[in-house]
Amino acid sequence: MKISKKIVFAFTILWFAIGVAAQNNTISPYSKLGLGDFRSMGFGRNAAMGGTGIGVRSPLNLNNLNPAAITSLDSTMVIFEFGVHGDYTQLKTSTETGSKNNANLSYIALGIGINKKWGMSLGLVPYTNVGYTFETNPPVSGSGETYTTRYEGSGGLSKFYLTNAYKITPNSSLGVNVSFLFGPKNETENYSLTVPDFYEVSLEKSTRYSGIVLDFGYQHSFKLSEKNELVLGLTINAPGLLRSQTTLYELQRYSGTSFTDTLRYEKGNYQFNDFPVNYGGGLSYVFDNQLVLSADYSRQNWSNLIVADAFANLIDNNTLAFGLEYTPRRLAQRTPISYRAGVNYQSGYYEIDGNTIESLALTAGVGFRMRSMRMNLFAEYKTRGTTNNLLIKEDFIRVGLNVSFFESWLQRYRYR
Amino acid sequence: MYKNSLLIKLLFVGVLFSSCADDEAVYKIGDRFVKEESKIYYVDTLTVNVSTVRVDSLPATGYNTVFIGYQNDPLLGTSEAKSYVEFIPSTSLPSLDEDAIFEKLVIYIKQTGYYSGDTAVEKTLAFHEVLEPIEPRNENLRIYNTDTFLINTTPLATHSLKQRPTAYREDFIKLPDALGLKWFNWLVNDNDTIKNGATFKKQFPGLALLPVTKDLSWSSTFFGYNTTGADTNNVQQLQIRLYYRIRGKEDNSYFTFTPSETAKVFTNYTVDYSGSVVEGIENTGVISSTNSNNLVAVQAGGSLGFRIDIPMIDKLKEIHPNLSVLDARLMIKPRKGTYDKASELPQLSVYWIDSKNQNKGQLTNFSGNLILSTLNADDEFNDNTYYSIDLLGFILNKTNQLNPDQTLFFSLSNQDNLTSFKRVIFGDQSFSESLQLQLHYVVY
Repeated sequence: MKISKKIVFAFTILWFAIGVAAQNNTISPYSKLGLGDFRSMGFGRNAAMGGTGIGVRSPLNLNNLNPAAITSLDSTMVIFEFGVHGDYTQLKTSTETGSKNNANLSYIALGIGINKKWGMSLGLVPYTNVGYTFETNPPVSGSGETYTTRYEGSGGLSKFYLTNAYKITPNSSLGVNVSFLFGPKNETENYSLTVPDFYEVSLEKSTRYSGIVLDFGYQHSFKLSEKNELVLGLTINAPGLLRSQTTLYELQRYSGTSFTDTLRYEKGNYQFNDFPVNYGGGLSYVFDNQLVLSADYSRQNWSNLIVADAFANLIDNNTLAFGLEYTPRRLAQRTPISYRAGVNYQSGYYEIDGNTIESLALTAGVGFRMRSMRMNLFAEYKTRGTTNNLLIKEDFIRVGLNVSFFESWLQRYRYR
Repeated sequence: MYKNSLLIKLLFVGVLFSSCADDEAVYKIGDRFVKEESKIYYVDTLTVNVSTVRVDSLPATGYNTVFIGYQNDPLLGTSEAKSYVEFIPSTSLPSLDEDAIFEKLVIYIKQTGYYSGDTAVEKTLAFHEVLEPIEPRNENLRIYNTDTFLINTTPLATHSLKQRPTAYREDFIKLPDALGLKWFNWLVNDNDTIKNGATFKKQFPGLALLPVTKDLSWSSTFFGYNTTGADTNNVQQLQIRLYYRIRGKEDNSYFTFTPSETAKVFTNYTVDYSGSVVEGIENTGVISSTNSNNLVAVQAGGSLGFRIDIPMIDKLKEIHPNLSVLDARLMIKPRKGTYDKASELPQLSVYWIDSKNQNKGQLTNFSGNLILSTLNADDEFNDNTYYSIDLLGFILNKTNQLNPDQTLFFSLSNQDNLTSFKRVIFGDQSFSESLQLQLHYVVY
């Protein structure tokens, strides 16, 4: 049971670490809108394959994109995974360019093959990210001057999930996820004039979210031959519930002093919103046990998610992604290396002034085994948005590493 | 396994310490990107009524300045300034015997360049003996700018001079020998009168300095002398000197009488408003701008200032209940043509006053500093010369309905009020962009 202790210890440490580190996982001004920036590229292997995974199965990697996928884990196998990443983001407006670096934990997850039919998984992943600092210079109504509004935001929703999946036939699996969403969205707006000796106004708004969502997944493998396989996957969630409560302070502070005055304090009532039904379908084709081709389509019906005070309309997002993985057979069979690539297109879930914010990502990565660990490295380049209509274009590069430790708990137990 | 453990540890450490974003660059983004929770508005069209208010009297001492002059102002009447100074003998008495010979008694004046008026015209002032003690007459134990003291109508001396901007010359004005000899004898006889300031003051309560030249033109005449020795040699600019000589010696010496104390040096003003735009203010104390050619004034001596009344200010919150004022400024323009050089316009002080025009103290900001006017001087064209005064504290009081019966009063500083002929004339809101209350407020 040594490995289990180690895993529990590691899990505990990482739990605290992720709690601390979950802040400011993004610097995108778009993360001000709605619940923040959604992140749905999956874990290391999937992220390298364009974020495809609904129809992808693997005995060596956890796949959180389809709950049914956990049955692909070998029975009695335990996998502990975590991911880290470093981001480089360049933001462009029609007049300015700037960039930032950011590094953080991506996720932690545990998968257990209980027996030949039953797999379990649990994990903690960022669900949305909020982190931005920007200014606008709106006109003072009634005069020719402008003032400065500075926007700052932090926080984001995390997701803790527990998955159970079962092979209902030797080739088809059904899985269910119970996901708990929780986290704050903290926003500050500071209004300041350009004259001396004035009051500046700061609005501090913090919304705490909590929610529960049930996700269902199905996967079916069609064994075409010994080395060729087609996997079909489907996911859908039951309508979930999202609870939010907003606390708002509006303060005015006399410039250059600590003289402050509370203009308003509001602690809102709990608001309950339906979490919309999202669904997706995916395919993967395993050719000669060397090449995997994958494709996913999914739709997130965010237009049905009513988030208080969101300015931009959340609209339905369509994701289309393709991926491939090539693992050349080595004669010596020492450490096979998998090479991965993918492309991910999202039609965009923000609509601002009639502009939808599309994104296109290209991904690549490698996976290999090192002793009892499996390492997946990936890189992602994503471009999103536009500089037209005073909006923002983002160029985003993420380099990520995920590490899986795996061990057969049964063997250990037996050997003892 | 050792290698792995090390790798894991390194990863943990790396991850824990690398969770950060770098520099806080700030991006300017079009304001259509976000919907603001709150919005800032500007308004400068609120009605501000103004009235000239005459301050009855002001404590006049404490400025160590004698100020003498006459001003004939076509808009604000004629002003006359006289000064009273109490003197005491120096405490370092020379021991003199019968070999000492009296020479003369003079008033010593050192010019500092503090003057106004036509430098080419010779001006005359007169020195009169004061016949009663220069003492406060009210319960506050302060002398006021309206106080006068009995004087001998025949001057002890008169003095005529042309003033020059940079002339730091010394003048010696001879006083009657009879007076000089009397004081000289006290000195020679070691009389108690010369040794004791209090006794001396009974014999000689002081000097009054009166203007003799009274120009009929607007161009004013005045002299100002500092009585606390401000020059580089630390010599008081106004002294009485008793000159004497020792028999058999060439050189003469002098014994000085200096202004006794700050509380006994002051300037008295009399102002005649007949024919002025504020005629009658000496009786009513206040005149609305609508009854004074749409003008209001601040004026020294007569201590004119103006009060503002903003009828709608209490109702500002009714425009929008969620309104908060961020910035409030009074912009007021001196009437073009009523002043010479914009950059030499004096500063304004701001006071709370009640409905009976009683002073309730100076206006301060939230840092506790006194609110003063900022002068934007446009010397080139005079079109854009205006005062700007931070009224945020006042407006917040009003919108929060505190001190409902109080408003603001603007005047010259006390120093200017009591030792100058400065004045500024402003137009009311009947002149375009002459007077505005400029408000920035946020609606949330």
